[in-house]
Amino acid sequence: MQAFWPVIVGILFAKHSGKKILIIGAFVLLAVILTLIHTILYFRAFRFHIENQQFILKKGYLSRKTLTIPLDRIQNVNTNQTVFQQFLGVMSVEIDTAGTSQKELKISALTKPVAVQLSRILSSYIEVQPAESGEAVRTAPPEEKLVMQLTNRDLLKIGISQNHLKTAVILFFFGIQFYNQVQQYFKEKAAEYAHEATVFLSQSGWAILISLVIFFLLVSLLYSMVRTAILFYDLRFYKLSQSYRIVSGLLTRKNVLIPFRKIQQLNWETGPIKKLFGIYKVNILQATSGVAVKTALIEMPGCLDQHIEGLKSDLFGPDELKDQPVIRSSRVYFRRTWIYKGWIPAILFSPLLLLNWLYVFLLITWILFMLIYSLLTLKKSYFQVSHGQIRVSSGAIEHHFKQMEFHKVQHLEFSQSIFYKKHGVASLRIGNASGFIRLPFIDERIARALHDYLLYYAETSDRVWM
Amino acid sequence: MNPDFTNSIILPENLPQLEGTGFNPVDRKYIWILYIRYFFWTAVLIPIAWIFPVILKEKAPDFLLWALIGLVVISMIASMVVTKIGFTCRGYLIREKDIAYKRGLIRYKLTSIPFNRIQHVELNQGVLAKRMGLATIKVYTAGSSSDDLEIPGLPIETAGQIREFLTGKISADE
Repeated sequence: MQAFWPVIVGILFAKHSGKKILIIGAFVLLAVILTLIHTILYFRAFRFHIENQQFILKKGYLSRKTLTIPLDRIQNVNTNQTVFQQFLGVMSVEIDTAGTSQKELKISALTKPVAVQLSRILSSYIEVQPAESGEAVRTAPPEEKLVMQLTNRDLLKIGISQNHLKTAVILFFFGIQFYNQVQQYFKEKAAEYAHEATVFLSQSGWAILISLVIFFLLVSLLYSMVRTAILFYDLRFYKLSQSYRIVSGLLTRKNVLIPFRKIQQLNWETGPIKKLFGIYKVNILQATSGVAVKTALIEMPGCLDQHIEGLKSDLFGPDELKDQPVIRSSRVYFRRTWIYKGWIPAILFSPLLLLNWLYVFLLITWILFMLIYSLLTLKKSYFQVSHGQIRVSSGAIEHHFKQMEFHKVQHLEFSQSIFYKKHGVASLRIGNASGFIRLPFIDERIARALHDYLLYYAETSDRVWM
Repeated sequence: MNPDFTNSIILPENLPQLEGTGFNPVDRKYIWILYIRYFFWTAVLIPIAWIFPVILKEKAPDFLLWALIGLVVISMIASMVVTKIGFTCRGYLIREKDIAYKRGLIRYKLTSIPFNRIQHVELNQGVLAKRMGLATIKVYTAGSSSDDLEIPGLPIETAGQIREFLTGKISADE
């Protein structure tokens, strides 16, 4: 139904002759009526219930279909509420089953109390699922403990502390794209402006450049604030006995259940502004079967130290990594980063010097800035391993951490560039079901040993990775 | 380490038609498919290089056209030389519990997947590969598609045997 609105609006605003409008209008009306009839019949025939440890769904008014899902095959239950649905007081429930050939089951428009209860009942089955615990005995809905809740002030802090530079660069490129598209329609005017722009650039120098940079940073700040408010409004983070539940969103209210055993990797990051507020941004990466890929990466900003420690201890047990030796990336990494991100862009932009030789100062500043950036990158590039887990640190200005357990390893890639062979330096990429961890430019012997060990671990561990 | 754990190399006799220990090379004919790819890209890039100065019109110096074409041809030749030298580095290895594939001279990569992580195996043949009797084996895991292990340039019979063998391993695990 929602898809029809643009069509109707389009027709209303289009310029047609009178007769055409009538015919088109008649078709639209017919389509609307048929859709209404279909929808009413569909919903009247849509019935589900739970019986004998099974979820039974009957749908279809012409051809009746009965779907039976054993409760222990349900992997995930999430709820969703768009603005429209919030207005009407309904929610949709998404049921994710094991097996990639199964279609995701989505029940739209359940009234809120029914949806909440259904998802609670199904969640309690997922809760008790791990094979180790024996039969699934369902009693009361699972106990939930509210671990964290974001207030509006928190949202403000989060919005300010997001990674603006990256956003600004992305928006800058969007701006260029937009300009290119416009250019195609206004070729002559564009050529004129381009000429003016080059004259402008070669004459105005610093002031304009700096104000452009500030402008883009402000735009990205605004974008971050709006995005934060919409995505993370009233974020509530609950802990159940074997899973987490995260509820958030302003326009679309999302409700996601994350069983611990599905979590493949935990990422958390901090940065200069984040440090000021004492907050971290957390990404939880979970394995999902083919269709429900949108819940694979769950972002949760505004976490405090204690939340990070709580997450780590829930998912990985007591910290066996902090006392392990810190293995750092080789100095080669610094050189490479400086060349690739500093010298090469400077060389590519050197034609600017033809416009105005004063641009050499800009290029020098860039190279110096990238020198510091590369040093920071090297400083933050290290990892620690224990017999079953690894924690990797990375980043330059922001500081990223990634942690995963070895039995979740799916795929390994050892790579070495011919330029660094003589330094005995190589990289290792460890892939899991929902992400990867990269160990860049480390001692080649460690990389090989880790590669062999992780293969051994994956081949002998009988722990379930999902 | 578990003393009962073994992971000796499966000798090629178990996969008939190939000899030798260590990594098994791919079919030598495959290099022609790689060469053809380079020719194709050159054939695409040269017209583009030719159009480029035309768009810029008076702003472009005369030699730009030839410089661009020269650049395209030189990079093609360089890529072909590097590929030829690095071709002998290519190889795959099937052991008791995992499969590995290595390739690359300038950017050397060694990829491994344990058998118990394989989701499914595919055998693909492009148009060119079909005519040469070659195929590609693709091994999928639960990870993202960039993590799939791909062994191109295998003779079609070998590829078939590998696929059967790996598929057998998947069902043995379940």
